[in-house]
Amino acid sequence: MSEQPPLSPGMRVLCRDAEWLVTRVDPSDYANTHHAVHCLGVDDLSRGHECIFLTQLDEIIPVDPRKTQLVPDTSSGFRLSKLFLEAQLRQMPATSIEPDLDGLGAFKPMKYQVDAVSLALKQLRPRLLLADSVGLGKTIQVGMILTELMRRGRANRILVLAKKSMLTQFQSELWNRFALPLVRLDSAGIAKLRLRIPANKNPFEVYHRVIISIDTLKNVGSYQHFLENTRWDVVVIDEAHNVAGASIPERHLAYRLARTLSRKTDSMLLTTATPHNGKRETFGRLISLLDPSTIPDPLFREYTAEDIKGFFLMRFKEDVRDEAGDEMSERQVVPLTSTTSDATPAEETVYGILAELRKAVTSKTDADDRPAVWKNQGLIQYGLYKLFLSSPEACRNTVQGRLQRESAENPDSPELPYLKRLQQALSKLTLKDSARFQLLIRQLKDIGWNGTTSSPRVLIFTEYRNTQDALADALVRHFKLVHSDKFEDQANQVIATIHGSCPDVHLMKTIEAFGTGTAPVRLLLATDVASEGINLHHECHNIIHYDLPWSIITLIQRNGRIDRFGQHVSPVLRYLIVNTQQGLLTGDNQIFQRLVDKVEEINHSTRQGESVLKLYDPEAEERYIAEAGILSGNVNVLEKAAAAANSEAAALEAMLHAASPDDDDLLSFLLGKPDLNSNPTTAELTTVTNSPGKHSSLKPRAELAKPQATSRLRLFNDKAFLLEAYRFLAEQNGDPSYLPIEEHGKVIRLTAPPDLKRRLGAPDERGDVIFGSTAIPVEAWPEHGQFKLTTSPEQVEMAILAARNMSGYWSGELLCTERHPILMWLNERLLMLMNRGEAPIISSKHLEAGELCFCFIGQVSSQAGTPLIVDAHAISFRKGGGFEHRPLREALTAARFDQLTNTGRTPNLLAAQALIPSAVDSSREHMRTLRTDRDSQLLPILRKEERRLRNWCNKRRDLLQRRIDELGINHPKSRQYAKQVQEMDDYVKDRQQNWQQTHMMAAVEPSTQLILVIEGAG
Amino acid sequence: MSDQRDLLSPLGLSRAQLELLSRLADEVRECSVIELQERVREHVAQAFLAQARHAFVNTRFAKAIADQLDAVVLDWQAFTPIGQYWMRGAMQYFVHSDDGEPDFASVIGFEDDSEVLNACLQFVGRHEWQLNPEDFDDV
Repeated sequence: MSEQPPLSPGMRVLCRDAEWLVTRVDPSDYANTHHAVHCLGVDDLSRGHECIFLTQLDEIIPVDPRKTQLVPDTSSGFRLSKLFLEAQLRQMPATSIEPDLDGLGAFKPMKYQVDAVSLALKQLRPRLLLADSVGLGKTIQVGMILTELMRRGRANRILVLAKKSMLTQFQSELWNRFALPLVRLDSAGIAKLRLRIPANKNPFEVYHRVIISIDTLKNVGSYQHFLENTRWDVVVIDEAHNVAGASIPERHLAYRLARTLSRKTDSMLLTTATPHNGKRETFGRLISLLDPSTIPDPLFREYTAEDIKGFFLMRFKEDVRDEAGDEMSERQVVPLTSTTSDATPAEETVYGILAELRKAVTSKTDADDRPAVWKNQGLIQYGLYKLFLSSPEACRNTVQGRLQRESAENPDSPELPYLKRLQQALSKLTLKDSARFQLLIRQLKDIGWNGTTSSPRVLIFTEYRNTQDALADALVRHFKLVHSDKFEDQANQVIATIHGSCPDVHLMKTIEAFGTGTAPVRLLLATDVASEGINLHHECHNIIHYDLPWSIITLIQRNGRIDRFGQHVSPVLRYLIVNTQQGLLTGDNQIFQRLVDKVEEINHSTRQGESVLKLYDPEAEERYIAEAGILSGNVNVLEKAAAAANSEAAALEAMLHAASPDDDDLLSFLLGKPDLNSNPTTAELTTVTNSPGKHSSLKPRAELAKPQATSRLRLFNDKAFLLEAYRFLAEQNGDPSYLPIEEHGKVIRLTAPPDLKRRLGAPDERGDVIFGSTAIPVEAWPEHGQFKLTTSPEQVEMAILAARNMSGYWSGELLCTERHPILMWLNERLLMLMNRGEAPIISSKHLEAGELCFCFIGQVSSQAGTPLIVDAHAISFRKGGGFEHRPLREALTAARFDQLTNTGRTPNLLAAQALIPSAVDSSREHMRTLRTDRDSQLLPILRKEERRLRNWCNKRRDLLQRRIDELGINHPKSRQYAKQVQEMDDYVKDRQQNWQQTHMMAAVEPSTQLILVIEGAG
Repeated sequence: MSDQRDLLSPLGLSRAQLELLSRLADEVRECSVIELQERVREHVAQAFLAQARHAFVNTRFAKAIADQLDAVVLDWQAFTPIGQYWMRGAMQYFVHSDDGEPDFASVIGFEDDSEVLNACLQFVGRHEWQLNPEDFDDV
C-alpha cells in the first residue's frame, strides 16, 4: 500500500515485533497529530496483554493481509495445514447468542440450568441474579455461564467474591467440571503474592481470574484501591445478600465495594437463595447493583415487575424435582417420637425454676408475688429457657454473667433470687448427663456411628458455642477418642468443630476433609457458620439438629447443606426434642413439632421458607415464635404470617412471581429471537475424527456413540486433537522433554513439558515472570506434573468422587475439552507453526485444475476488541475468470480436506501469490456486508435498551429534582440528591462511551486473515 | 405569554424537556412557519448525511417526524395562537440537535423530538398524528 490508512479500532498492527489488535485510539497531543493507541496482544507471545503505544515514540504499522506469503506444506498428509487450520478454527470466538455447552465440561446440564445460560446470553450485557432456592446448583450455573462467555472472548478477566468458607469449594468446582482456573487469594495466597510482586503492583493486573473473599478485601485496604482501578469482564458475587447492605447501605463497606465493581465490569452474576428480607429496598438494591438503570427510585422502594423482569431467576426444588431425577433424593425425617426424650429429674428442677420465672415476668411480680419491674424481659422470659434447652453449659454461662452484673449494678433486681436458684441447680448438671445428650448417643447408635473410621459421616448442628464445646468434649469422652481444640487440627481428627472464629484456611480445610472419603473426620459439629452455601452432601447424608433454632429460615439453610442437587443417598434428618413435665412449658413441644412440620411442608412447595412468617430474618423469627407462640401458649403461631409483617412482603413476593420468566417466555425467546450472528459457516462440520492419533483417517462425527449437537466447526474431536497436536509438536521440536503421551483405557496421561509448566504456573517454577493470566490453581497440579485427561464425563465424575474419598476437592482427572488449559496451550503452539504473515498452501485433486481456493477467517470487532462477528469463508478463483464465495465448511468438503494426501506436487506459488490481494478484498467486502447485516439486526435491540435507559434517567431525574424542590436547594439532603443526579449523568455517559460505543459498536474496518490456500489439481 | 404557558402547556414532558421547549418556542415566536419548515427539511438532510458516517442514525424516524410537521403546517390556520406557539417550539426543538438526546450521536437521537412533538400534538388535539418510535426501529 502506498499510503498508510489512519489507525482505527479493530485494525491489526505490528509494533515492537509483535502483532496487536487496536482497541482504542485517543489523541495524545492538543494538535491531534499524535495518538495513544490502545492495543490487545494477538500474537502468540503477547496474547491477552494490553498495551498503550504512543505514535510519537513507536512505529505502528498496520498488518496487511494482502501481503501474506504462501509457504508450501511439505508435511506428510498435510498434517501441518490440518493442525494449523484446526488451531485457527479453535481460536475463533463464538458470537451466536445460543448456548452450546456440549462437550465443554463434566456436568449434566438440566433444562432449568440451561435456561439461566440462555437468559444471560440473551442480554446485551449479561447481568443476572440467580436466586434459586438452596441446593439447586447455582455454582454449576455460574460455571456454565462463564464458559459460554469465555468462548465469546468476554470472560478473560474474572473476579469471584465469595464467603471465606466457600473459596476452595467454588474454585475446585469450576476447575473440576469446567477446567476453569481461578487463582485463590485467601490470606495465605495474598501473603505469598506479596513476596513475589512489588507492593505497588496491582495484583489484579498479574492474575486475570481471581477468587477472593469479601472479608479479605475489606480488611486489606490497599487491595480495594487496586480493585477500583481494574476493569473486569465478569464479576461474580456468591451469597450476594451479604452485600445488599443494611438500612444505610452507603455505610456498608461490602455494598460500596460491590457497587464499585458493578461499574467496573462488563458482565455481573449474583447468586443468593435469600434475595430479599421482605422489604422492597433490599431486592431493589441487589437488582440495581446488577444494573443501576433498572430502578429510578433512589431509595429502591418504587419499582414494578416490568422494571426488574429479565434480571433474575428464582426457582424452587419443587419446580425442578422431576427434571433433576436421581440427582436429588427424597429426604426422610426420623419420626419425632423416636427423636424425643423426657427430661431427667435434675433437669425438671431447672425447668421448674424457668417456668416460675416466666410466670413472674408475665405477671410482673417478684418471687414474693409483689409487683416488680423486669428488665431485659426477652432473655429472662425465654432466652435462658432456650439456652437450657440446648445445654446446661450454655445456660450456666449466661446465668453466671448476668448474676454478677445484676448483683453489682442492680442489687434489688427481682431476677436475683431466680438466678441464684438457677445457678445452684445448674451447677449439678452437665451436658454429658443430660437427656438430650443421651438421646444423641441413641441416635448415633441407630446410624451406626461409633467413632471408628468406618462410621458414616454425621453433621450435627448446634446454636451455641458453649454447647458445641461441651458436646465435643462429651462425645470424645464417650467414644474414648483423642481430640484437640486447635483450629489446625480439626481436619485431622474424628470429631471436628467449626464456628465463626475459625480462620478461613482452617475452616476450608475442615470442610474439605469432611467431604473427603478417607479423611479421618467422621462427625462435624457446626454452628450456623456452616449453614450457608457450602456443600457437605458428598460424603454425608445424616444431619442431626442437636438443638432447635426457633427459625424456619435457619433450619432450611442447615438442611440445605446435605439435601441438595447431586445428593444420591436419601438425606436423613433428625430433630432432637426433650419433653418437660413442667405445666407452663409442656405446650411448647407442640410448637416445636409444628416448626419441624412447617420446614418439611416448605420443602415440597414452591415457596421460600421466609414466606411463612414473612419476617425474613432468623432473629426476628425467633423473637416472634417466642413471644407470639411460646409465651402466649399459641400453638398455631406458625399458621399465618406474623402480624408485624406488613403487606409489603406479600406484595413483593407477588411481584417477583409476576416478574419471573415462565417457560413460555423462555420458549418464545428461544424460538422467536433473531440470532444476531448465526450464519451457515458456523454450522456443524461433519468431518470430525473419531480415531485419535491417525491423522489421515478422519471419520464422520455421526459415528460417535453420542451425536454431538454442537455448532462448532471442527476437523478433530478434542482427544484426537490433543494426541495429534502433541505428537506433531514433539516431533517438530525433537525435544526430549516432550515425553510420550500414555493412554490407559479412557485416561490419557500427559507429562507437562517445561514450557507448559511455566505457562500454567507450576508450584516448583521459580522464574521471574509470573504467568498470572494462564495460571491454574496450585492444588490442581498433579504429582510429577503428569496430567490425566479423559473424554468420558462419567470418568470425571468418578475421579471427583475418588478425590472426595482420598484427597479432597481436587479431581485427579479432568475432561478433555477445548477449554482445558493444556488444549489451549497446544492451540497457541500450533498457531506458531507459521511465521507471522505466512499461510500454508496445499493441493487437492478434488478441486478442478487451476482453481485456487483462499480460506479466510474474518472478524468484526467492537472498538474495545470484543469479537462481534467471526466468519470462516473461502474464495475460489477458477480458470477462465470463475469466482465463488462460499462457507469454509463447503470449500473443505469440496476439496475433501480430511482425506487429502501429500503427493509432493509443487504448487503454482506465483499465480496464488498474485491473486491474494483480490481475495483479501473480496473477503473484506464479505465481512463488511456481514457487519451491515449485524448492525441492522442489532439496532432495534440497542434502541430498546437505550429507551429503557432514557426512561430510567428521566424518571429518576424528576424524582430527585422534586425532592430537591421540596427541601430547598441548601438542605444537606438536597446536596446529596444533586450529587446523585451528577452520578447518574456520569453513569449514562460512561455507559455510552465505555460500553455501547466500545463493546457494541463495530469497529470501522473488519479484519481478515488468510489461513490456507488450496490449489486444485484435478 | 409566560402566564398563559404556566396555565396551558403540553403535558407529559420531563422538566428539562419543557424548559428547553419553552425557551426555543420563545426564541422563534416571531419566525415564519415556512422558514421553520425549511429548517426542519434541512435538518433531515443533515441526518441523512450523518447516517453515512453512523449507521445508527434513524433517518426513517427523522423523516416521519418531518412529514408530521409538514402536515401540521398544512393545517396551521386551524390552531389557536397558543397552539401555534407550541408547534413553532416543537419544530425548533426538532431542528435543535443538542437536546435531550443528541440527534446524530445516539441510537435514539430523535426520540425526545418525537416526545415533544407528541405532547404538542396532544395539546392541539391532533393525538391521531402522534408517532410511536418503536414503529420505526426496523432498519
